[in-house]
Amino acid sequence: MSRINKNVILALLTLTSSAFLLFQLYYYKHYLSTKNGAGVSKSKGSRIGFDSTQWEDWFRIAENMGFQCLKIQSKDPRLDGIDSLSGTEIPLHYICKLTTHAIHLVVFHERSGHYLWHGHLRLKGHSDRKFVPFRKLHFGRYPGAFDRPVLHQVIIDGLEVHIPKDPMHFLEEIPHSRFIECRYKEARTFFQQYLDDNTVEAMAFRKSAKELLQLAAKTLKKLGIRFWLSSGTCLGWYRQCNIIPYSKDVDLGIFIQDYKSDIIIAFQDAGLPLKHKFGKVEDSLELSFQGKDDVKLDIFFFYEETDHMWNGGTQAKTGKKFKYKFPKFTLCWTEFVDMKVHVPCETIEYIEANYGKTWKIPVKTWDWKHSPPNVQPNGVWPVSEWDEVIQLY
Amino acid sequence: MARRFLKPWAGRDNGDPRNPAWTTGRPAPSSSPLGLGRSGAGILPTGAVLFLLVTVIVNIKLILDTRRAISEANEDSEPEQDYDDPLGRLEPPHRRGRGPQRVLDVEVYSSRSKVYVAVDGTTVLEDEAREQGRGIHVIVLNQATGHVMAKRVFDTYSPHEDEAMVLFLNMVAPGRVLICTIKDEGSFHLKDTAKALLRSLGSQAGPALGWRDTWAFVGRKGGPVLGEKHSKSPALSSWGDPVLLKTDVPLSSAEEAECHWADTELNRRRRRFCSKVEGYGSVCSCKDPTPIEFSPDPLPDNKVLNVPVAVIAGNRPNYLYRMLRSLLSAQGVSPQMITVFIDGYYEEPMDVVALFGLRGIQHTPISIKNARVSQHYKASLTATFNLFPEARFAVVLEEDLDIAVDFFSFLSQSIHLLEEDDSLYCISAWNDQGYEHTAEDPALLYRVETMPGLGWVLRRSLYKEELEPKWPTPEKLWDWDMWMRMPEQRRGRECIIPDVSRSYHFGIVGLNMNGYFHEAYFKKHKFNTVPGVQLRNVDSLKKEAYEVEIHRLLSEAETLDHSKNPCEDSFLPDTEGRTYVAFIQMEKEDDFTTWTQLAKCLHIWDLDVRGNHRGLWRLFRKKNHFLVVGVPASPYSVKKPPSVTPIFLEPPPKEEGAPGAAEQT
Repeated sequence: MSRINKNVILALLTLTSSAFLLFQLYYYKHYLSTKNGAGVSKSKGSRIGFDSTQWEDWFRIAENMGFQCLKIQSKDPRLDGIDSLSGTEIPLHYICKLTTHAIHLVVFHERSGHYLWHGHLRLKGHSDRKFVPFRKLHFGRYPGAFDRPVLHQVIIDGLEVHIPKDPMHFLEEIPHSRFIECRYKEARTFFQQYLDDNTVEAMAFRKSAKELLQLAAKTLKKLGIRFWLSSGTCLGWYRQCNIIPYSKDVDLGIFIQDYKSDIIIAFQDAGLPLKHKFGKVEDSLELSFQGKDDVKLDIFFFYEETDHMWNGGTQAKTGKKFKYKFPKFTLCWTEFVDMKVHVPCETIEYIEANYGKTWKIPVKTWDWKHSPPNVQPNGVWPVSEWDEVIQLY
Repeated sequence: MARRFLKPWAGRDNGDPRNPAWTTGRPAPSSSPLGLGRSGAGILPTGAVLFLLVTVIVNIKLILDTRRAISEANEDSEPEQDYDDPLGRLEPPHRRGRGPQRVLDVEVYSSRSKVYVAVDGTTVLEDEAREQGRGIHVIVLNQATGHVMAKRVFDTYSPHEDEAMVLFLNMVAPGRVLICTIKDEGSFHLKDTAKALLRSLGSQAGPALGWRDTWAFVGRKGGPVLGEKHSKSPALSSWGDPVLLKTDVPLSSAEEAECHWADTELNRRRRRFCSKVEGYGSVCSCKDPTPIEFSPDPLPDNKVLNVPVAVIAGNRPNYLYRMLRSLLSAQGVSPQMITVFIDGYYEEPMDVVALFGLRGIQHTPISIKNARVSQHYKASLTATFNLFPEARFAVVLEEDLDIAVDFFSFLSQSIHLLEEDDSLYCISAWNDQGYEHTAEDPALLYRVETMPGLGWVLRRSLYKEELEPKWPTPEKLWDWDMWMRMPEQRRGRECIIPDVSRSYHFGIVGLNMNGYFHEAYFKKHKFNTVPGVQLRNVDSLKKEAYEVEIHRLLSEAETLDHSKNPCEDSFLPDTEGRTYVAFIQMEKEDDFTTWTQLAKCLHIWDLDVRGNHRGLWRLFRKKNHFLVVGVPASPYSVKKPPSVTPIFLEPPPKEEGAPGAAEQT
């Protein structure tokens, strides 16, 4: 009796378990198909620029086919930097869904600096937050910037479409594509308060600094080295969307792990001779190159610790070392003097570390050894190392 | 752009605890191990136990996976903060005049020093400024909505204004509500045609208006009159009493107010436009509306297809309308490259831009007068190069220009010069000296040291690297074009112009413009109307080649009889197709004394020097090419035969009350 019972129980349990397994398998398949579906087809179209009627046609055709469409548009950021222009809004995203499928059309706009920009998918007050699972969309959580890809035509499912010639490059850009706009409004307020310096010298400096920055960016890009606007150049971007005319140099930051030994040669070949080299790769490296018209290019190398980043400074006369500490940051794209460049995404923290809470007030006398709130003494280079860590040209 | 496909997410919102996976999933792992200890001997039970074990393990794994899926799905249903618009955009306020109300309450006031019109308590016209706004004010209301569709003032105290009024009133569609009121004086030059038109509108007093009468009128175009008040002036030295007309205007249905055009995208634009504004003639005609889309022939091998076109505009919507029509009719135009920049938040120019389906950008005015125009130019040019970051050139136009049918063809054939020749500053469609009697050859181009503007091409590098950084700031009341002509900016570079202009300046009302001035300097300008003109010898316009060309011309030119008066018609023989040269006195590079006098008697631009190239001017007289060389300043003086004495013309003694500052554009 008990044996029969045991067998019956066993059989029952096996049955239940198998039934449950089947159910689970079915359910899991469902889940998988959704997940895979999201990864399918990432075709990129070719139209760059904006022809309102053409877009509207697309929209209307989709709606006539039974799609439910959502259109996200906003002000044109290309007009934002210009005194009080307001144009017709430009389309940023179209999302059209039919039953359980959705098409997300991201409109890439071309911007100054040979790059493409797409906008933030920002829902207006009354729109349906459940229209599609917005978080699953690959584009739109933040605005993004991409190198302008060369496109070529391919046939997918019998349809002629354009895709980037180098699809891997485009795909690799996606996770690091976050873009932040310059704070044009605040910059205007700044200039209302402090007036822009339009003297011939200021304009000449801006021009040289811009050319130097463009040359540096080109050189570093060739080497495949990431860099960002640092110190005064970063402050100029953040505070006034321009180069600070009395800053006298261009400052860039590079992570030490991106350092390459041929960097000095590359700059020299580009017509920028090394002016001085402080520190060494393991500690407090800093390079300065001499640009045209007495404009200097300073490259600070950043070292990462568990809870902060820092870069070093060296006083040539005394061999004293300094350390400039920054809270950890990541890199975002922005547009600066007609270029797509990196800045720390956590810009305000970065700037306040370097310039304090009063960064909004222009200061013309700045002592790099004492003025920054984040500077701290970091010992002295041993005299035996001076030949290596203090090189002046 | 990128397209992404999302496969079904329908099964994904499993955060819901009612989901069976959740409820049945839990007991499975805890109940199964119970059976394990009790399993007895025998192959069958052992197999069953093993099977059970496997299913349980797979089940647990699946449950874990599913739970992960669920938690991800839960994330989805969190409020989509990143996607929220922090501003909570406001709906634009609706315009007054909608709603169930079917009657408008209209007030019209006419007096010596003030007029006003109020519709449903909202003042739509108020003018009590001294010394302006004299004449008949006309307002057109939409008969279905009560919106103001047009507002005009015709100074019928002055000549010809009544003709403009007749033209305007004839253009207003039947059924519209017309409101008229006089400020100060409106009868002195109100001629019979105009009076007859007022009579046809049903007005009693209009046809009999007298000196300094006051008058207020409300009526429907095509009848009936809805109210009229009139007060006669008792004497020449005094005005009629102020009159205040209060009347109700019944609104008609929207159906009646609109035309029944076929439902197309174009007509939707037309309908939107025609229900808002009046005074554009047949574009809003119900029966036979004039087209708003033009399909000019494409230009073969169009080199300027991707060059952005910036149209600089103010608040002259009728001008803009005329300008855009001619622009969109030009061969080789690409509408998506056009941007209209409007200086100020004016609605009507924006409506005109929308009618043609173009991009319009409004600009908050900065500064005043000429500096305002200058700031508007700067913002527009910067925006153009921002909107088209890959463009190396931009075409700059203004709202008061007619564009020649071969405007783009002209540019397409010549634009490579701007790329290949650093000594060029611009290409312009306008020849300052190209009047009906002084321009002849549409295939001919010149190099000139002055910058004419009025339809021109700007190089990106010139703008971004040189002009933009030092553009005059708002506090400097400079004309942008005068500034561009200064030696510091032009730096010895020249512009390419055609002999026969490819643009025509029709603006009479403008910041620096008035009727007299237009008549004297612009009206008789020659304008090319021949399509597809093949330009001659374009490469001979390059710096060195042009010198060769000039020397060739001078060598074959016949020297005119310098004993004759150059202002006399007989100075040039009655021939055709010959080349003549005259030598005038020009002591230094900037000595234009004789040239200015010569220009005056030739009836060409004489307000400042234009169209010169190293002390040489080229124009046509009586179908002959006519060269003028300034001696000895011009390097071409060497071509002067020793026997010829350069002509000297004395400037007249300075007069008081000469016409004021000139329009420079």
